[in-house]
Amino acid sequence: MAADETDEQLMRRFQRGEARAFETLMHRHRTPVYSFLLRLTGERTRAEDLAQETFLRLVKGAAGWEPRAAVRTWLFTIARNLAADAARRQVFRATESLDAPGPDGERPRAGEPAASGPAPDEAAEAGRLRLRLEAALAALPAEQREVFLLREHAGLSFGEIAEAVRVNENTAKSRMRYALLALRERLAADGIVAPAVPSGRGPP
Amino acid sequence: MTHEPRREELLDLALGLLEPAEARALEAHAAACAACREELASLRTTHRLVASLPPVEAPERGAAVLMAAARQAAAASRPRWVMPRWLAGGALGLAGAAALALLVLRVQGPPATGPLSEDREALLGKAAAPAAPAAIPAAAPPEARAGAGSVAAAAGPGAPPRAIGIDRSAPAVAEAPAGEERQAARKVEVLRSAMADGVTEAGAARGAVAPAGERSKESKAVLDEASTAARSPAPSQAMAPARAAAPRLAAAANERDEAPAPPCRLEQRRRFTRDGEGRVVARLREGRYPAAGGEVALRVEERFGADGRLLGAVVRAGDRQFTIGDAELAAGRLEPLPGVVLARTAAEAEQAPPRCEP
Repeated sequence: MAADETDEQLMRRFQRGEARAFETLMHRHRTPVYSFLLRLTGERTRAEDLAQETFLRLVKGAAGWEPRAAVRTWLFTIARNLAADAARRQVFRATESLDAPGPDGERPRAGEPAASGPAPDEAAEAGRLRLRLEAALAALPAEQREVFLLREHAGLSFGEIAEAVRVNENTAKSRMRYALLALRERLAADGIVAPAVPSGRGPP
Repeated sequence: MTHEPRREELLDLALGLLEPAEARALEAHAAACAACREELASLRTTHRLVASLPPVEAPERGAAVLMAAARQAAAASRPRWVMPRWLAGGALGLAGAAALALLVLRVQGPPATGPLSEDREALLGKAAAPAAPAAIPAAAPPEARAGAGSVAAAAGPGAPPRAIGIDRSAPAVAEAPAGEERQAARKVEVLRSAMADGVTEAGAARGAVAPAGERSKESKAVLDEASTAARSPAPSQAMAPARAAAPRLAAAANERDEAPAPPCRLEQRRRFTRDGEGRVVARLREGRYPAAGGEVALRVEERFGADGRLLGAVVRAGDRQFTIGDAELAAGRLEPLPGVVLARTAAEAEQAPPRCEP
Protein backbone atom coordinates (compact mmCIF):
# COMPACT_ATOMS: atom_id res chain seq x y z
CA MET A 1 0.00 0.00 0.00
CA ALA A 2 1.85 3.02 -1.20
CA ALA A 3 0.61 6.54 -1.56
CA ASP A 4 2.37 6.83 -4.89
CA GLU A 5 0.43 4.04 -6.51
CA THR A 6 -1.67 5.15 -9.44
CA ASP A 7 -5.43 5.29 -9.16
CA GLU A 8 -5.60 2.45 -11.60
CA GLN A 9 -3.31 0.22 -9.57
CA LEU A 10 -5.36 0.94 -6.49
CA MET A 11 -8.52 0.18 -8.35
CA ARG A 12 -7.17 -3.17 -9.45
CA ARG A 13 -6.31 -4.04 -5.90
CA PHE A 14 -9.75 -2.99 -4.76
CA GLN A 15 -11.24 -5.24 -7.41
CA ARG A 16 -9.22 -8.07 -5.93
CA GLY A 17 -10.80 -7.48 -2.57
CA GLU A 18 -8.52 -5.03 -0.82
CA ALA A 19 -10.71 -2.52 0.88
CA ARG A 20 -7.72 -0.47 1.95
CA ALA A 21 -6.89 0.29 -1.64
CA PHE A 22 -10.25 1.97 -1.85
CA GLU A 23 -9.47 3.90 1.30
CA THR A 24 -6.41 5.37 -0.37
CA LEU A 25 -8.41 6.24 -3.46
CA MET A 26 -11.09 7.84 -1.37
CA HIS A 27 -8.66 9.97 0.61
CA ARG A 28 -6.96 11.03 -2.55
CA HIS A 29 -10.11 12.19 -4.30
CA ARG A 30 -12.61 13.16 -1.64
CA THR A 31 -11.62 16.77 -1.41
CA PRO A 32 -11.29 17.38 -5.14
CA VAL A 33 -14.63 15.71 -5.78
CA TYR A 34 -16.32 17.52 -2.93
CA SER A 35 -14.88 20.89 -3.99
CA PHE A 36 -16.02 20.28 -7.51
CA LEU A 37 -19.53 19.47 -6.36
CA LEU A 38 -19.62 22.35 -3.92
CA ARG A 39 -18.70 24.83 -6.62
CA LEU A 40 -21.02 23.20 -9.08
CA THR A 41 -24.05 23.19 -6.81
CA GLY A 42 -23.25 26.02 -4.43
CA GLU A 43 -24.71 24.05 -1.56
CA ARG A 44 -22.70 22.37 1.10
CA THR A 45 -25.14 19.69 2.15
CA ARG A 46 -26.00 18.82 -1.38
CA ALA A 47 -22.35 18.62 -2.34
CA GLU A 48 -21.71 16.40 0.63
CA ASP A 49 -24.52 14.05 -0.29
CA LEU A 50 -23.49 13.95 -3.91
CA ALA A 51 -19.85 13.30 -3.06
CA GLN A 52 -20.91 10.46 -0.83
CA GLU A 53 -23.07 9.03 -3.55
CA THR A 54 -20.27 9.41 -6.07
CA PHE A 55 -17.98 7.21 -4.03
CA LEU A 56 -20.70 4.70 -3.36
CA ARG A 57 -21.17 4.44 -7.10
CA LEU A 58 -17.47 3.86 -7.42
CA VAL A 59 -17.69 1.03 -4.92
CA LYS A 60 -20.67 -0.41 -6.69
CA GLY A 61 -19.17 -0.14 -10.12
CA ALA A 62 -15.69 -1.24 -9.18
CA ALA A 63 -16.24 -4.82 -10.31
CA GLY A 64 -17.08 -3.69 -13.81
CA TRP A 65 -14.32 -1.13 -14.12
CA GLU A 66 -11.74 -1.74 -16.78
CA PRO A 67 -8.21 -0.39 -16.75
CA ARG A 68 -8.84 1.47 -19.99
CA ALA A 69 -10.86 4.09 -18.16
CA ALA A 70 -9.03 6.57 -15.96
CA VAL A 71 -10.45 6.38 -12.46
CA ARG A 72 -10.31 10.14 -12.04
CA THR A 73 -12.29 10.78 -15.19
CA TRP A 74 -14.80 8.17 -14.22
CA LEU A 75 -15.18 9.61 -10.75
CA PHE A 76 -15.78 13.15 -11.96
CA THR A 77 -18.14 11.96 -14.62
CA ILE A 78 -20.20 10.22 -11.97
CA ALA A 79 -20.10 13.31 -9.80
CA ARG A 80 -21.10 15.57 -12.64
CA ASN A 81 -23.97 13.33 -13.70
CA LEU A 82 -25.28 13.03 -10.18
CA ALA A 83 -25.18 16.79 -9.84
CA ALA A 84 -26.96 17.22 -13.15
CA ASP A 85 -29.67 14.79 -12.07
CA ALA A 86 -30.01 16.55 -8.77
CA ALA A 87 -30.37 19.89 -10.52
CA ARG A 88 -33.11 18.47 -12.70
CA ARG A 89 -34.91 17.32 -9.61
CA GLN A 90 -34.61 20.63 -7.88
CA VAL A 91 -38.32 21.22 -8.13
CA PHE A 92 -38.60 18.47 -5.57
CA ARG A 93 -36.43 20.21 -3.08
CA ALA A 94 -39.45 20.80 -0.87
CA THR A 95 -39.91 17.08 -0.78
CA GLU A 96 -36.34 16.39 0.05
CA SER A 97 -36.20 18.90 2.84
CA LEU A 98 -38.70 16.76 4.67
CA ASP A 99 -36.28 13.89 4.64
CA ALA A 100 -33.23 15.87 5.42
CA PRO A 101 -33.81 19.08 7.26
CA GLY A 102 -30.49 20.83 7.55
CA PRO A 103 -29.23 21.71 11.01
CA ASP A 104 -30.98 25.04 10.79
CA GLY A 105 -31.74 25.41 7.15
CA GLU A 106 -28.55 27.31 6.51
CA ARG A 107 -27.20 27.23 3.03
CA PRO A 108 -23.67 28.51 3.17
CA ARG A 109 -22.08 29.89 0.11
CA ALA A 110 -19.27 28.06 -1.54
CA GLY A 111 -15.86 28.96 -0.34
CA GLU A 112 -17.01 30.97 2.59
CA PRO A 113 -13.92 31.40 4.73
CA ALA A 114 -14.08 29.77 8.11
CA ALA A 115 -15.14 32.13 10.82
CA SER A 116 -12.09 33.08 12.82
CA GLY A 117 -10.67 35.78 14.98
CA PRO A 118 -9.33 39.02 13.61
CA ALA A 119 -7.02 38.30 10.72
CA PRO A 120 -4.13 40.34 9.45
CA ASP A 121 -5.06 42.70 6.65
CA GLU A 122 -3.29 40.62 4.11
CA ALA A 123 -5.20 37.48 5.01
CA ALA A 124 -8.43 39.43 5.04
CA GLU A 125 -7.63 40.78 1.62
CA ALA A 126 -6.86 37.30 0.32
CA GLY A 127 -10.12 36.12 1.81
CA ARG A 128 -12.02 38.89 0.09
CA LEU A 129 -10.37 38.12 -3.21
CA ARG A 130 -11.22 34.49 -2.83
CA LEU A 131 -14.82 35.31 -2.13
CA ARG A 132 -14.97 37.43 -5.26
CA LEU A 133 -13.45 34.63 -7.31
CA GLU A 134 -15.90 32.14 -5.91
CA ALA A 135 -18.72 34.52 -6.62
CA ALA A 136 -17.56 35.03 -10.18
CA LEU A 137 -17.44 31.27 -10.65
CA ALA A 138 -20.84 30.83 -9.06
CA ALA A 139 -22.31 33.46 -11.36
CA LEU A 140 -21.41 31.50 -14.49
CA PRO A 141 -24.17 29.67 -16.28
CA ALA A 142 -24.15 26.08 -15.03
CA GLU A 143 -23.06 24.60 -18.34
CA GLN A 144 -20.06 26.90 -18.51
CA ARG A 145 -19.22 26.40 -14.87
CA GLU A 146 -19.15 22.64 -15.12
CA VAL A 147 -16.83 22.74 -18.09
CA PHE A 148 -14.54 25.20 -16.36
CA LEU A 149 -14.44 23.12 -13.19
CA LEU A 150 -13.92 19.83 -15.01
CA ARG A 151 -11.07 21.35 -16.92
CA GLU A 152 -9.33 23.45 -14.29
CA HIS A 153 -10.14 21.72 -11.04
CA ALA A 154 -10.67 18.14 -12.10
CA GLY A 155 -8.02 18.24 -14.80
CA LEU A 156 -10.02 16.48 -17.47
CA SER A 157 -9.13 16.85 -21.12
CA PHE A 158 -11.67 18.44 -23.45
CA GLY A 159 -12.28 15.04 -24.94
CA GLU A 160 -13.11 13.66 -21.53
CA ILE A 161 -15.22 16.68 -20.67
CA ALA A 162 -17.13 16.31 -23.91
CA GLU A 163 -17.89 12.73 -22.99
CA ALA A 164 -18.87 13.54 -19.42
CA VAL A 165 -21.12 16.42 -20.41
CA ARG A 166 -22.37 14.67 -23.54
CA VAL A 167 -21.58 17.42 -26.00
CA ASN A 168 -18.99 17.49 -28.73
CA GLU A 169 -15.51 18.69 -28.05
CA ASN A 170 -15.95 21.99 -29.86
CA THR A 171 -18.96 22.81 -27.74
CA ALA A 172 -16.99 22.02 -24.63
CA LYS A 173 -14.22 24.34 -25.77
CA SER A 174 -16.55 27.14 -26.67
CA ARG A 175 -18.21 26.89 -23.25
CA MET A 176 -14.78 27.23 -21.78
CA ARG A 177 -14.15 30.37 -23.82
CA TYR A 178 -17.45 31.91 -22.77
CA ALA A 179 -16.68 30.99 -19.19
CA LEU A 180 -13.35 32.75 -19.31
CA LEU A 181 -14.86 35.85 -20.93
CA ALA A 182 -17.66 36.00 -18.37
CA LEU A 183 -15.22 35.51 -15.51
CA ARG A 184 -13.01 38.26 -16.81
CA GLU A 185 -15.94 40.61 -17.22
CA ARG A 186 -17.03 39.97 -13.68
CA LEU A 187 -13.57 40.29 -12.18
CA ALA A 188 -12.97 43.42 -14.22
CA ALA A 189 -16.15 44.91 -12.79
CA ASP A 190 -14.72 44.19 -9.34
CA GLY A 191 -11.49 45.88 -10.37
CA ILE A 192 -9.51 42.67 -10.01
CA VAL A 193 -8.33 42.32 -13.59
CA ALA A 194 -8.00 44.70 -16.49
CA PRO A 195 -11.20 45.11 -18.49
CA ALA A 196 -11.46 43.95 -22.06
CA VAL A 197 -9.61 46.09 -24.50
CA PRO A 198 -12.26 47.99 -26.44
CA SER A 199 -12.25 46.95 -30.06
CA GLY A 200 -10.89 49.57 -32.37
CA ARG A 201 -7.97 50.26 -30.15
CA GLY A 202 -6.24 47.35 -31.74
CA PRO A 203 -3.40 47.31 -34.18
CA PRO A 204 -3.99 47.72 -37.91
CA MET B 1 -6.77 41.65 -40.32
CA THR B 2 -9.82 42.45 -38.20
CA HIS B 3 -9.48 42.34 -34.46
CA GLU B 4 -12.33 39.97 -33.60
CA PRO B 5 -10.87 36.65 -34.79
CA ARG B 6 -7.65 37.64 -33.14
CA ARG B 7 -9.47 38.02 -29.85
CA GLU B 8 -10.92 34.55 -30.18
CA GLU B 9 -7.43 33.26 -30.69
CA LEU B 10 -6.16 35.15 -27.69
CA LEU B 11 -8.81 33.41 -25.67
CA ASP B 12 -7.58 30.06 -26.93
CA LEU B 13 -4.04 31.06 -26.20
CA ALA B 14 -4.92 32.01 -22.63
CA LEU B 15 -6.67 28.69 -22.19
CA GLY B 16 -3.85 26.73 -23.72
CA LEU B 17 -5.99 25.49 -26.56
CA LEU B 18 -3.67 26.43 -29.39
CA GLU B 19 -1.16 24.22 -31.10
CA PRO B 20 2.41 25.08 -30.10
CA ALA B 21 3.23 26.61 -33.48
CA GLU B 22 0.11 28.77 -33.49
CA ALA B 23 0.75 29.74 -29.91
CA ARG B 24 4.25 30.88 -30.67
CA ALA B 25 3.09 32.97 -33.62
CA LEU B 26 0.40 34.65 -31.56
CA GLU B 27 2.75 35.29 -28.66
CA ALA B 28 5.08 37.00 -31.13
CA HIS B 29 2.23 39.13 -32.36
CA ALA B 30 1.11 40.02 -28.85
CA ALA B 31 4.65 41.04 -27.97
CA ALA B 32 4.48 43.67 -30.64
CA CYS B 33 0.86 44.73 -30.09
CA ALA B 34 -0.05 46.56 -26.89
CA ALA B 35 -3.79 45.93 -27.17
CA CYS B 36 -3.34 42.21 -27.69
CA ARG B 37 -0.78 42.08 -24.93
CA GLU B 38 -3.16 43.72 -22.47
CA GLU B 39 -6.03 41.56 -23.54
CA LEU B 40 -3.97 38.42 -23.21
CA ALA B 41 -2.63 39.43 -19.81
CA SER B 42 -6.13 40.14 -18.55
CA LEU B 43 -7.46 36.81 -19.79
CA ARG B 44 -4.52 34.96 -18.36
CA THR B 45 -4.81 36.62 -15.00
CA THR B 46 -8.49 35.78 -14.88
CA HIS B 47 -7.78 32.22 -15.83
CA ARG B 48 -4.96 31.83 -13.36
CA LEU B 49 -6.88 33.39 -10.48
CA VAL B 50 -10.02 31.34 -10.86
CA ALA B 51 -8.21 28.15 -11.74
CA SER B 52 -6.04 28.44 -8.67
CA LEU B 53 -8.86 28.62 -6.18
CA PRO B 54 -7.88 26.13 -3.51
CA PRO B 55 -10.05 23.07 -2.98
CA VAL B 56 -12.53 23.10 -0.15
CA GLU B 57 -11.73 20.37 2.34
CA ALA B 58 -14.27 17.55 2.26
CA PRO B 59 -15.95 16.83 5.58
CA GLU B 60 -14.93 13.56 7.19
CA ARG B 61 -18.31 12.41 8.26
CA GLY B 62 -19.21 10.16 5.35
CA ALA B 63 -15.89 8.32 5.26
CA ALA B 64 -16.83 5.56 7.69
CA VAL B 65 -19.89 4.69 5.68
CA LEU B 66 -17.90 4.54 2.47
CA MET B 67 -15.33 2.30 4.05
CA ALA B 68 -18.04 0.00 5.31
CA ALA B 69 -19.40 -0.26 1.80
CA ALA B 70 -15.93 -0.84 0.42
CA ARG B 71 -15.15 -3.59 2.91
CA GLN B 72 -18.35 -5.27 2.02
CA ALA B 73 -17.60 -5.04 -1.67
CA ALA B 74 -14.09 -6.26 -1.12
CA ALA B 75 -15.31 -9.22 0.89
CA ALA B 76 -17.71 -10.06 -1.89
CA SER B 77 -15.02 -10.04 -4.52
CA ARG B 78 -12.42 -12.01 -2.59
CA PRO B 79 -13.79 -15.54 -3.12
CA ARG B 80 -13.11 -15.21 -6.83
CA TRP B 81 -9.49 -15.43 -5.96
CA VAL B 82 -9.54 -17.68 -3.00
CA MET B 83 -11.76 -20.41 -4.31
CA PRO B 84 -9.84 -21.66 -7.31
CA ARG B 85 -6.69 -22.05 -5.28
CA TRP B 86 -8.07 -24.38 -2.69
CA LEU B 87 -10.55 -26.01 -4.98
CA ALA B 88 -7.85 -26.91 -7.44
CA GLY B 89 -6.23 -28.87 -4.66
CA GLY B 90 -9.32 -31.04 -4.47
CA ALA B 91 -10.18 -29.74 -1.08
CA LEU B 92 -13.84 -30.60 -1.13
CA GLY B 93 -16.19 -33.10 -2.63
CA LEU B 94 -18.60 -32.14 -5.34
CA ALA B 95 -21.48 -31.68 -3.02
CA GLY B 96 -19.53 -29.54 -0.69
CA ALA B 97 -18.42 -27.33 -3.48
CA ALA B 98 -21.89 -26.81 -4.83
CA ALA B 99 -23.17 -26.24 -1.37
CA LEU B 100 -20.58 -23.63 -0.75
CA ALA B 101 -21.39 -21.99 -4.03
CA LEU B 102 -24.96 -21.54 -2.97
CA LEU B 103 -23.90 -20.26 0.37
CA VAL B 104 -21.63 -17.75 -1.19
CA LEU B 105 -24.60 -16.53 -3.17
CA ARG B 106 -26.61 -16.33 -0.04
CA VAL B 107 -24.02 -14.48 1.91
CA GLN B 108 -23.25 -12.11 -0.90
CA GLY B 109 -26.86 -11.27 -1.35
CA PRO B 110 -28.77 -11.24 -4.60
CA PRO B 111 -26.82 -10.91 -7.80
CA ALA B 112 -26.01 -7.96 -9.92
CA THR B 113 -29.39 -6.51 -10.75
CA GLY B 114 -30.33 -4.89 -7.50
CA PRO B 115 -29.63 -1.25 -6.76
CA LEU B 116 -26.98 -0.36 -4.31
CA SER B 117 -28.38 -0.23 -0.86
CA GLU B 118 -28.71 3.37 0.00
CA ASP B 119 -29.34 2.90 3.63
CA ARG B 120 -26.09 4.09 5.06
CA GLU B 121 -27.00 3.06 8.53
CA ALA B 122 -27.49 -0.50 7.39
CA LEU B 123 -24.14 -0.34 5.68
CA LEU B 124 -22.54 0.88 8.81
CA GLY B 125 -24.13 -1.94 10.70
CA LYS B 126 -22.69 -4.36 8.22
CA ALA B 127 -19.20 -3.11 8.64
CA ALA B 128 -18.81 -5.32 11.66
CA ALA B 129 -20.23 -8.42 10.01
CA PRO B 130 -17.77 -11.17 9.22
CA ALA B 131 -16.42 -11.59 5.74
CA ALA B 132 -17.83 -15.06 5.66
CA PRO B 133 -17.23 -16.28 2.10
CA ALA B 134 -13.53 -15.76 2.19
CA ALA B 135 -13.25 -17.33 5.56
CA ILE B 136 -14.89 -20.64 4.81
CA PRO B 137 -12.27 -22.42 2.76
CA ALA B 138 -9.41 -21.70 5.04
CA ALA B 139 -11.39 -22.69 8.07
CA ALA B 140 -12.79 -25.92 6.70
CA PRO B 141 -11.65 -28.75 8.94
CA PRO B 142 -9.13 -31.13 7.44
CA GLU B 143 -11.44 -34.13 7.66
CA ALA B 144 -13.72 -32.45 5.14
CA ARG B 145 -11.02 -32.63 2.56
CA ALA B 146 -11.82 -36.20 1.63
CA GLY B 147 -13.92 -35.45 -1.41
CA ALA B 148 -13.18 -36.84 -4.82
CA GLY B 149 -12.56 -34.47 -7.67
CA SER B 150 -12.15 -30.76 -7.86
CA VAL B 151 -14.72 -28.14 -8.45
CA ALA B 152 -13.33 -27.48 -11.86
CA ALA B 153 -14.56 -30.97 -12.64
CA ALA B 154 -17.88 -30.36 -10.93
CA ALA B 155 -18.51 -27.28 -12.94
CA GLY B 156 -17.99 -29.32 -16.05
CA PRO B 157 -16.19 -28.47 -19.25
CA GLY B 158 -16.83 -25.02 -20.60
CA ALA B 159 -17.96 -23.71 -17.29
CA PRO B 160 -15.37 -21.47 -15.76
CA PRO B 161 -14.76 -21.77 -12.05
CA ARG B 162 -16.66 -18.58 -11.42
CA ALA B 163 -19.82 -20.30 -12.59
CA ILE B 164 -19.97 -21.53 -9.04
CA GLY B 165 -22.40 -18.88 -8.13
CA ILE B 166 -19.98 -16.02 -8.06
CA ASP B 167 -21.14 -13.37 -10.37
CA ARG B 168 -18.32 -11.17 -11.53
CA SER B 169 -20.71 -8.32 -11.90
CA ALA B 170 -22.25 -8.98 -8.52
CA PRO B 171 -23.00 -5.75 -6.71
CA ALA B 172 -20.32 -4.56 -4.45
CA VAL B 173 -22.79 -4.04 -1.70
CA ALA B 174 -25.34 -6.63 -0.76
CA GLU B 175 -28.82 -5.46 0.01
CA ALA B 176 -29.41 -7.61 3.02
CA PRO B 177 -29.50 -5.93 6.40
CA ALA B 178 -26.91 -6.67 9.00
CA GLY B 179 -29.00 -9.22 10.86
CA GLU B 180 -29.40 -11.28 7.76
CA GLU B 181 -25.71 -11.45 7.20
CA ARG B 182 -25.09 -12.61 10.73
CA GLN B 183 -27.71 -15.26 10.14
CA ALA B 184 -25.91 -16.24 6.99
CA ALA B 185 -22.68 -16.49 8.89
CA ARG B 186 -24.35 -18.82 11.36
CA LYS B 187 -25.55 -20.93 8.46
CA VAL B 188 -22.02 -21.17 7.25
CA GLU B 189 -21.19 -22.64 10.60
CA VAL B 190 -23.96 -25.19 10.22
CA LEU B 191 -22.82 -26.12 6.79
CA ARG B 192 -19.25 -26.46 7.83
CA SER B 193 -20.28 -28.99 10.44
CA ALA B 194 -22.35 -30.78 7.85
CA MET B 195 -19.42 -31.05 5.57
CA ALA B 196 -17.33 -32.39 8.35
CA ASP B 197 -19.90 -35.17 8.59
CA GLY B 198 -19.34 -35.97 4.97
CA VAL B 199 -21.65 -34.64 2.34
CA THR B 200 -21.45 -36.37 -0.99
CA GLU B 201 -23.84 -37.02 -3.78
CA ALA B 202 -23.92 -37.23 -7.52
CA GLY B 203 -26.52 -34.53 -7.89
CA ALA B 204 -24.08 -32.08 -6.47
CA ALA B 205 -23.82 -30.01 -9.58
CA ARG B 206 -27.44 -28.98 -9.15
CA GLY B 207 -26.93 -28.29 -5.51
CA ALA B 208 -28.83 -31.29 -4.18
CA VAL B 209 -27.35 -32.69 -1.04
CA ALA B 210 -28.00 -36.11 0.37
CA PRO B 211 -28.73 -36.07 4.05
CA ALA B 212 -26.07 -37.67 6.14
CA GLY B 213 -27.35 -37.39 9.65
CA GLU B 214 -29.27 -34.67 11.39
CA ARG B 215 -26.79 -31.93 10.73
CA SER B 216 -26.89 -32.54 7.04
CA LYS B 217 -30.64 -32.25 7.06
CA GLU B 218 -30.25 -28.89 8.58
CA SER B 219 -27.73 -27.93 6.01
CA LYS B 220 -30.08 -29.07 3.28
CA ALA B 221 -32.69 -26.70 4.63
CA VAL B 222 -30.13 -23.98 4.68
CA LEU B 223 -29.22 -24.72 1.12
CA ASP B 224 -32.80 -24.71 -0.04
CA GLU B 225 -33.27 -21.38 1.55
CA ALA B 226 -30.03 -20.21 0.08
CA SER B 227 -31.03 -21.12 -3.43
CA THR B 228 -34.42 -19.51 -2.98
CA ALA B 229 -32.79 -16.40 -1.71
CA ALA B 230 -30.46 -16.41 -4.64
CA ARG B 231 -33.40 -16.36 -7.03
CA SER B 232 -35.48 -13.70 -5.37
CA PRO B 233 -34.34 -10.29 -4.33
CA ALA B 234 -34.06 -9.64 -0.66
CA PRO B 235 -37.10 -7.85 0.71
CA SER B 236 -34.92 -5.07 1.97
CA GLN B 237 -34.13 -4.20 -1.60
CA ALA B 238 -37.71 -3.24 -2.26
CA MET B 239 -37.66 -1.25 0.92
CA ALA B 240 -34.64 0.78 -0.04
CA PRO B 241 -35.46 4.41 0.65
CA ALA B 242 -36.21 6.42 -2.43
CA ARG B 243 -33.85 9.10 -1.35
CA ALA B 244 -30.50 8.29 0.15
CA ALA B 245 -30.48 8.95 3.84
CA ALA B 246 -27.48 11.13 4.33
CA PRO B 247 -25.06 9.87 6.93
CA ARG B 248 -25.50 12.92 9.06
CA LEU B 249 -29.05 11.77 9.69
CA ALA B 250 -27.72 8.87 11.67
CA ALA B 251 -26.87 11.26 14.42
CA ALA B 252 -29.99 13.37 14.10
CA ALA B 253 -32.46 13.51 16.93
CA ASN B 254 -35.30 12.37 14.74
CA GLU B 255 -36.19 8.73 14.98
CA ARG B 256 -37.72 6.93 12.09
CA ASP B 257 -39.65 3.78 12.07
CA GLU B 258 -40.80 1.65 9.25
CA ALA B 259 -44.36 0.73 9.89
CA PRO B 260 -45.40 -2.48 8.26
CA ALA B 261 -47.94 -1.81 5.56
CA PRO B 262 -49.90 -4.51 3.80
CA PRO B 263 -49.04 -5.08 0.17
CA CYS B 264 -51.17 -2.45 -1.38
CA ARG B 265 -50.96 -0.61 -4.66
CA LEU B 266 -51.22 2.97 -3.45
CA GLU B 267 -49.21 2.34 -0.38
CA GLN B 268 -46.44 -0.20 -0.42
CA ARG B 269 -44.33 1.47 2.13
CA ARG B 270 -44.93 3.80 5.03
CA ARG B 271 -42.47 5.52 7.25
CA PHE B 272 -42.81 7.86 10.17
CA THR B 273 -40.33 10.43 11.29
CA ARG B 274 -40.52 11.25 14.98
CA ASP B 275 -39.02 13.96 17.04
CA GLY B 276 -37.01 13.40 20.19
CA GLU B 277 -40.19 12.96 22.18
CA GLY B 278 -41.65 10.34 19.93
CA ARG B 279 -44.18 12.59 18.26
CA VAL B 280 -44.78 11.97 14.60
CA VAL B 281 -43.47 14.93 12.62
CA ALA B 282 -43.70 13.41 9.18
CA ARG B 283 -45.15 10.49 7.35
CA LEU B 284 -43.89 9.19 4.06
CA ARG B 285 -45.89 6.81 1.95
CA GLU B 286 -44.79 5.25 -1.28
CA GLY B 287 -46.66 3.16 -3.74
CA ARG B 288 -47.88 3.04 -7.31
CA TYR B 289 -50.55 5.14 -8.91
CA PRO B 290 -52.46 4.23 -12.04
CA ALA B 291 -51.74 6.43 -15.01
CA ALA B 292 -52.31 6.38 -18.71
CA GLY B 293 -50.32 3.49 -20.08
CA GLY B 294 -49.46 1.91 -16.76
CA GLU B 295 -48.43 2.99 -13.33
CA VAL B 296 -46.25 5.69 -11.93
CA ALA B 297 -44.44 5.97 -8.64
CA LEU B 298 -46.46 7.64 -5.94
CA ARG B 299 -44.86 9.42 -3.06
CA VAL B 300 -46.79 11.24 -0.38
CA GLU B 301 -45.08 13.17 2.34
CA GLU B 302 -46.96 14.88 5.09
CA ARG B 303 -45.53 17.06 7.75
CA PHE B 304 -47.10 17.62 11.13
CA GLY B 305 -46.59 20.39 13.61
CA ALA B 306 -45.79 20.08 17.29
CA ASP B 307 -49.52 20.19 17.99
CA GLY B 308 -49.98 17.21 15.69
CA ARG B 309 -51.81 19.14 13.00
CA LEU B 310 -51.01 18.72 9.32
CA LEU B 311 -48.71 21.52 8.18
CA GLY B 312 -48.47 20.61 4.57
CA ALA B 313 -47.74 17.87 2.13
CA VAL B 314 -46.00 17.12 -1.10
CA VAL B 315 -47.53 14.52 -3.37
CA ARG B 316 -45.64 13.22 -6.33
CA ALA B 317 -47.13 10.91 -8.90
CA GLY B 318 -44.69 10.20 -11.69
CA ASP B 319 -43.66 13.58 -13.04
CA ARG B 320 -46.48 15.48 -11.46
CA GLN B 321 -46.11 17.10 -8.12
CA PHE B 322 -48.69 18.71 -5.89
CA THR B 323 -47.81 20.86 -2.98
CA ILE B 324 -50.45 21.19 -0.33
CA GLY B 325 -49.87 24.29 1.71
CA ASP B 326 -51.87 26.66 3.87
CA ALA B 327 -54.25 27.70 1.10
CA GLU B 328 -55.17 24.15 0.20
CA LEU B 329 -55.52 23.12 3.81
CA ALA B 330 -57.72 26.11 4.57
CA ALA B 331 -59.90 25.09 1.68
CA GLY B 332 -60.06 21.56 3.08
CA ARG B 333 -58.49 20.01 0.01
CA LEU B 334 -57.13 16.87 1.54
CA GLU B 335 -57.37 14.61 -1.47
CA PRO B 336 -54.92 15.93 -4.07
CA LEU B 337 -55.42 12.83 -6.19
CA PRO B 338 -58.39 10.49 -6.11
CA GLY B 339 -57.68 7.99 -3.37
CA VAL B 340 -54.69 9.84 -2.01
CA VAL B 341 -56.00 11.18 1.26
CA LEU B 342 -53.98 13.28 3.62
CA ALA B 343 -54.22 12.88 7.34
CA ARG B 344 -55.45 15.93 9.22
CA THR B 345 -53.41 15.04 12.28
CA ALA B 346 -50.40 12.98 13.20
CA ALA B 347 -52.63 10.69 15.23
CA GLU B 348 -54.79 10.07 12.21
CA ALA B 349 -51.68 9.38 10.16
CA GLU B 350 -50.59 6.75 12.62
CA GLN B 351 -53.93 5.05 12.92
CA ALA B 352 -55.47 5.26 9.49
CA PRO B 353 -55.37 2.01 7.57
CA PRO B 354 -53.75 2.25 4.18
CA ARG B 355 -55.87 3.08 1.22
CA CYS B 356 -55.18 0.54 -1.46
CA GLU B 357 -57.05 1.69 -4.53
CA PRO B 358 -58.01 5.07 -5.90
